[in-house]
Amino acid sequence: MSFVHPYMLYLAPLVALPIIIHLLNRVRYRRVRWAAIDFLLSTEQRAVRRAKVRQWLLMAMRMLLLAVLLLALAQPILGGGLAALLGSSSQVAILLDNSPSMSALDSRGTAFERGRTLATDAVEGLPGSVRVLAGTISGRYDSPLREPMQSKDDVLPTLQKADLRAGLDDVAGSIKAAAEALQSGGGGGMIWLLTDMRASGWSSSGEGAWQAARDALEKAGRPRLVISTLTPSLTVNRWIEGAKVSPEILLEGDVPRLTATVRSEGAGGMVNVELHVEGRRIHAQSVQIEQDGAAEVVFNLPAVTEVPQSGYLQLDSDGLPQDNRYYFVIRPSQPLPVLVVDSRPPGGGLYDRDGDLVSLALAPPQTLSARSPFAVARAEASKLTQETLSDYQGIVLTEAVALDEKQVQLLQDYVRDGGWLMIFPGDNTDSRSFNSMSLSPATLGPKVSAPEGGLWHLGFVASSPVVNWLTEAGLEMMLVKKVFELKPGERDEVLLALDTGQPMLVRSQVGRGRIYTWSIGSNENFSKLPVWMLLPIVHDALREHVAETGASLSIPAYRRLGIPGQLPLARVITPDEQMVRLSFTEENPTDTFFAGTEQAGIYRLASSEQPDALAASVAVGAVNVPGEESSLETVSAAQLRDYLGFQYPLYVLEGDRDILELDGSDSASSAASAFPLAMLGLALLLTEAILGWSMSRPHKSQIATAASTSANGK
Amino acid sequence: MAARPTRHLDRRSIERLSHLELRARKAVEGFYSGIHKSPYHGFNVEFAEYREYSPGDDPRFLDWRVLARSDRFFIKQFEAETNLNCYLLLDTSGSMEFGSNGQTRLDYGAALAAAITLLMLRQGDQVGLITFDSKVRHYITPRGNARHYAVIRDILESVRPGEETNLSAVLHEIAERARRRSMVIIISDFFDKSEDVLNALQHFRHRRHEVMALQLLDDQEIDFPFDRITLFEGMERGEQVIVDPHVMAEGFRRRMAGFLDELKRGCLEKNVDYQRMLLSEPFDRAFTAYLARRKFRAAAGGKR
Repeated sequence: MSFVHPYMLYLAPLVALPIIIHLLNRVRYRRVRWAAIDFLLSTEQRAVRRAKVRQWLLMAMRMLLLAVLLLALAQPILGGGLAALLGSSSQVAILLDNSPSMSALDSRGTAFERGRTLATDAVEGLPGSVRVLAGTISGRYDSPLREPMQSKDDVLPTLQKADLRAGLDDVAGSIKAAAEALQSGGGGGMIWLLTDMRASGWSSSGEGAWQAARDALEKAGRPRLVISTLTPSLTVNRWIEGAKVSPEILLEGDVPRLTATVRSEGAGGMVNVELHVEGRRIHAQSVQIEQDGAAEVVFNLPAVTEVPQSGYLQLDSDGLPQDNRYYFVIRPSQPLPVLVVDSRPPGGGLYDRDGDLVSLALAPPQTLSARSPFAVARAEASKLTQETLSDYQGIVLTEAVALDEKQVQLLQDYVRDGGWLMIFPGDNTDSRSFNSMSLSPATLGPKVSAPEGGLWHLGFVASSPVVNWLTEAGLEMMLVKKVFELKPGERDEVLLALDTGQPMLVRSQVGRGRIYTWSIGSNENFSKLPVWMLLPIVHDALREHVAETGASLSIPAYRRLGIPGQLPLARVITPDEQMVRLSFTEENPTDTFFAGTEQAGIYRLASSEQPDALAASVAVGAVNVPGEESSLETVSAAQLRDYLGFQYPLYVLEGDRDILELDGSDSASSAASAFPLAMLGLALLLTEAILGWSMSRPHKSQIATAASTSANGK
Repeated sequence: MAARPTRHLDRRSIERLSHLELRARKAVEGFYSGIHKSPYHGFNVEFAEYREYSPGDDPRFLDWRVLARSDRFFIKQFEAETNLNCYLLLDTSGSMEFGSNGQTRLDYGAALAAAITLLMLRQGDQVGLITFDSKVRHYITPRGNARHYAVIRDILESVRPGEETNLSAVLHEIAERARRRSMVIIISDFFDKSEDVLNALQHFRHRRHEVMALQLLDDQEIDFPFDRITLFEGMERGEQVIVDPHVMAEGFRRRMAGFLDELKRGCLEKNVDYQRMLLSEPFDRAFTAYLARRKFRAAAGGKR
């Protein structure tokens, strides 16, 4: 028998309360010295037996009353099968949980297969007049619940084709869709949810989603919600919660380190972790994990090559095998586009523009054997408005000259939205005009030159990781011909200063972006700062910026591919060979998402130029089970009531076969109801009251004796 | 040896009771002139009636005047007032120790016996006291002098509950010993087999004694007001029984009611004056009411 509130059965020992009270009374009897003891000893045994029978009857009545009360609270499903649960309505929406946690395996098989079999068998047993819809509730699965109600024969293929997906459950959204489907079919009926009750699927929907679901249920005429719990009997599960690589911007030839977090729910112990890359087992380590704890394991990855390398981390097998493997892809960082803005068109000389040196610093030629993730584009300041600044990871403004209002506005918007801007003054920079633009919180003062065209030997102080390497490399002085007085803004940070105290490089936070302002120009007229020294500073500043803005550049896995920069023309081929266009989130334009990533399998990237070249596309990601799905925590009865409302007609069926064991006849309509039980309880209460009264009233012989005594005494 | 505790009799109640007269329902034989009528008729006593002469009658009692007038032989009969010989039989068995209101059945019975003693002595009768449990413990021969009350009172004040009762056997024994026709007042709970008790009372009646059976009962023994499971311990043999009142109460009440009814009916049949007295009712009030009813019945012709 199934119960709507099976947890009420935990109170079943209360049924023994009358017996316990009886026994306690026996133990705690009082003692009385009694003269007429022979009358007690010789009291008619038949009368005693009769009285005992009545007393046991009374006790049994009380126990039965308690049992009925508990049953009424637990609300049993008395019979009538799925059709009976439907009541007078003739439509049912079936929601089959196909989230990864349903792959959990115990002696009865996987929860998903049990659910599918249960749903299929139940639908096959339904009368032909019943209209049915079936859908799955994992992630963004394109549920057929949007379709009109169908005959059971149309629904069976949907159930048979359903398979596990890698996304989180969306229980609230699925119930809402099911309720809307029932509403379109006339309202009422039943929603039958087959799930392992993992809390993650219920809690992942926000309160707003649940409110929408409740509203939809009300509009649909409060259809019965029946939940078949398929929770597997697992006590321990271990999974890889996440992995990261360092450094974050990987260049070809780098040897990155992979740090994975292994988590355990349930008992602790030793866990073996294997690293596989390109189909080969590279390393294996064992790590000790405490109960309900986590541990980190570090691997050295192979050197980064031009071709992305895919791999996975593998744990020992357990009851939920789908989360024992964590897929990842290691690939070199894509070139980060940087725009170098010049104040004037190119002349005839090799380095006659300040931007020439900066471009060389950012993207040195291969002949210098320097590796750079940056791809430099050049533009004149006068044509800045023709550029789409958001396409660039960073902008370098050289020989800062006066810009018009529109150009300034463009740069300010770019920075506030998270952009990176570096400003070099130049020979043609007018401090007053520069300051009037209010492009940077830092302002320029007068330009000061060394006397008689000489050089200052100035020491400097580094105060940021961006420039710390200068002093670590032994560079403590540099030769400077001329320098602008640089005044940092109130909240600016001085990264580099001359030993006179004069700021040399200032960093300003503007909106979500940053501005780096130099006090010297980027040509040899200002200093003898060599190109090879400028390069790492610019590199580090950009690297730091990219890392802090949260872009995951090197290890795409699961849904967040983290492809750097916006690649509007790129496509992703999903495991079911569908071409999907990449999309970007508004919150973070560097995070790349695309619909349908909850499907299990390997995703491949294809360029727009070769939309049909599927065979040539490379693997860029794999789908991992969301960590929430790995947790064994199940949703509690109290949480169910919170989500659905306390008064909602909710029926929870334990186990697989309950609903099939019910008689599926059309005529049956004895679904769970507390009313008949309440009536039975009332009848028992009355019986007990009558029995109790009959036992407590004086016997007629006693009345006669009392009357006689009274008559004689007067 | 520790001094035996004494029972303080309620002297005020005893005094109040002693102002009443306890007349024998029938005339009894006695040595002294009391207020009871003697069945021994003769001279110098109050004329009673005439009856025809029959051979063997003393010719001295012939009424010669009647003979002269009617030529018929009539004998003059006279009634002489005589004193009463009374035996007070007080049950002192263990069951007499019971009492639920702070006063035991023995306290009540002793006070009642003292009052009756004083009453009888004041009206010139002779009173004796017999206490018994399984056997006779005290046997005080009936006497009528004033000092006799002190003797009986002292015994009543010191008497203690004894052993297991053997009521019928002891009553048979006493019936054998009391040869002179007397009034026998038995104060007991009569918790024995009703048939045996009635046979013993019949023994007294056979000896032509007038018998009064005063049965002392506690209210609990009739109502059985217990509602919790209780261990009852016998007061004479110490036997124990755990009783669930919900189970046993009805049977006990029925059994007790049957016993009382049987005892009362048996007494009626055997011409024994039976009176049930509840310990909750003051003994003087209960006995006064009893004597009033008894006097009324005597006046009405001896019907009870």
